[in-house]
Amino acid sequence: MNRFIKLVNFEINRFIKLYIGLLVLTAISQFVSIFNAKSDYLNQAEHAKYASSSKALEEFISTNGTISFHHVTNNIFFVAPIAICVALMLLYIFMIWYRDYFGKNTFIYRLFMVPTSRMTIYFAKASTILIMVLSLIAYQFILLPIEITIFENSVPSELLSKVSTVDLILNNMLFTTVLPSNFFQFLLSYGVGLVSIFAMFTVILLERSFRWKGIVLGILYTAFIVIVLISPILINELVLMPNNGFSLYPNEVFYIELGLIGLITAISIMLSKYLLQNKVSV
Amino acid sequence: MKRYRNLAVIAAVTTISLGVFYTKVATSESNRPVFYISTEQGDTSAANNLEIQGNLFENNLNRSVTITTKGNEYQNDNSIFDGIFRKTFSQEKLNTLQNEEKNFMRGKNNQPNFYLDKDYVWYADVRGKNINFEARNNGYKLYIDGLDLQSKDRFKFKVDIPNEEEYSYIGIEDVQLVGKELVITTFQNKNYGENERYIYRISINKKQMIDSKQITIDKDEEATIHTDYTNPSEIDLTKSKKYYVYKQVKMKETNQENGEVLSKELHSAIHIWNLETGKEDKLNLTKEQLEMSKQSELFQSDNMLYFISHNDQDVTVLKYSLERKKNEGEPTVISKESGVSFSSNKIIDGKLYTIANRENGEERSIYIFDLATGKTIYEGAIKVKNTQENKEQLLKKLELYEFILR
Repeated sequence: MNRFIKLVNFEINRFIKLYIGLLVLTAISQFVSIFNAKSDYLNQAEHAKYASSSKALEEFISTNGTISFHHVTNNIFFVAPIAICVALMLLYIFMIWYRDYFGKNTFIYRLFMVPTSRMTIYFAKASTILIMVLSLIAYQFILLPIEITIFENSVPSELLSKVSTVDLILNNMLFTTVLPSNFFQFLLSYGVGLVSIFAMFTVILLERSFRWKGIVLGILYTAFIVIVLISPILINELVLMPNNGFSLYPNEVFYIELGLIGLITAISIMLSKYLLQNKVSV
Repeated sequence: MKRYRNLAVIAAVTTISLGVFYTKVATSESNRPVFYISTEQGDTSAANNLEIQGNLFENNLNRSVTITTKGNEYQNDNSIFDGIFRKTFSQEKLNTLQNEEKNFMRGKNNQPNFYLDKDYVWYADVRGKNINFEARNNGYKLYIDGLDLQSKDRFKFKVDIPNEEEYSYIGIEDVQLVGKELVITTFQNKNYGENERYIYRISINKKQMIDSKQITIDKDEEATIHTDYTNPSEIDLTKSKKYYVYKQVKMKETNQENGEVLSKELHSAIHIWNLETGKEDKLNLTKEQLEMSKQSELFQSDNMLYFISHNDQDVTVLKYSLERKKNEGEPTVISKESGVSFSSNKIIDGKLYTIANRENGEERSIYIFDLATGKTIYEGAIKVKNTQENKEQLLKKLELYEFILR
């Protein structure tokens, strides 16, 4: 356990500069989005001379509506850093292995010499990615109330619709995707995320083990996972239902999918273990 | 310990932050305003199975809400669990049947395709060989599945549909059991444009179609003329009924010089098909009542037709017995306050369920009237609790749009 924590800490320290860069980029870009969204709206309001009379104010609101933080979340500068974080984290799943191979002094050689199971290294790398993803989401949740407060203090109250952080998250498609309102769905989403990391690690290790042939095997393994996961839905809709009207209930499909995800996890881990112990060459 | 600082800070901040979020979500759910139906007159039990669906628009946010006498439930459209474990049917008896007869109910999701009484459940479905609806040659067949609820005997067979190769779409509108025969009404589409309705009669013993009759076709002689067919509103399509009723309206459209299209009604009629005899019955209304029926909302329940017409002072319900082929007593007149309009009307078991809306948008009431006597059985008001906001303002933000009787 101690070795595992040491390895996770080690991986986080290697990522920390890029991570802090992402935090700063997100904060700056989202504060720019507040300014942008607010200015666009207030320019329209001033153009309509909303402050000249209560009638002008009413007319402006009936045409344009009030402004809330939802306007900010639709701004490109608000969404872009989130998209960049997602893209970078996806890229980091590959970087976390390949930098050890292609960085200075083929670091993977030293890493595999650490007196611990190679699977500890594998799990430490997967945990690092999960921790970094969750911490980015947590950071966004910390940033939101600050952004909302600044935004609501800079917009005239008569034009403002207040919204709480929780309401904002619960009613925004992007936020509910990354932070589901139901805790069990959160566990399910990030559980599936972790399984995807295991599956991608397996593909990377296949490539590291068999090089060009490994890429083909990796593609075949990905195709196998996709086919396995969509097979209950396809069999249900295209085979069972049209032929004899038999159909699985949505909850049955859900439990079958959970079982298949468990199976994919087991296969990915076992295959990775085999590759790390017998096939991966430095 | 110092060298674990980064990991410790990230792990602690993440855990606390996500913990705070889920605590806040739980608190915010319990602090939401609770809308409920408060009994103003009559017995609360009359409204126990009532669900009113609405929409709360607040702070630029829309939330779907289902209101009952006990309180309300906010729908969470983003939850995967809500989607997976949601009840399949709006009618509770079909959900109960799904729990009791899990295997029989597999793949049976369309309410109009069911016939259900205390002894039998029948389901008819049209399935073809193509995934998409091709213009022709879809290989449609009628799949029948029945279950004797007492002996648990299953009756499963398929039946050919006459001239099915000509149709791009065939769908079920209603299924009825008449003696030992199934009477199935279908909606069929030819050449992606011509719509037809058929009544098929299927012998359960012979497992074959014994009669087929086209009852409607909307292929009109001129492009500017078109015919619309509508059915009366029915709450429970699975119930036994002996009559298939539809309203036919033939319209002529003329293009005006200013670009507007003027519609003129050429012909309007209500048709009644007796499903036992397979023949059309006459609607015995006076000329005056026929005129009134054209402007009325039409409902069908338990072999009765109801015509609801409104004016500023009252709501009149004309009751027509399809079996006796005449009006059932005098029309029921329900008086209402000025500025009040009735919406989302439903007729269930001889009672009129309605939402009374006032012009100021506040004080929505729920009424249940006995159509035999015209008396109010129940009056309820939509109220709100568990909020520190201005209750009148909050109620104005609530839109009610549908009634469901579970």
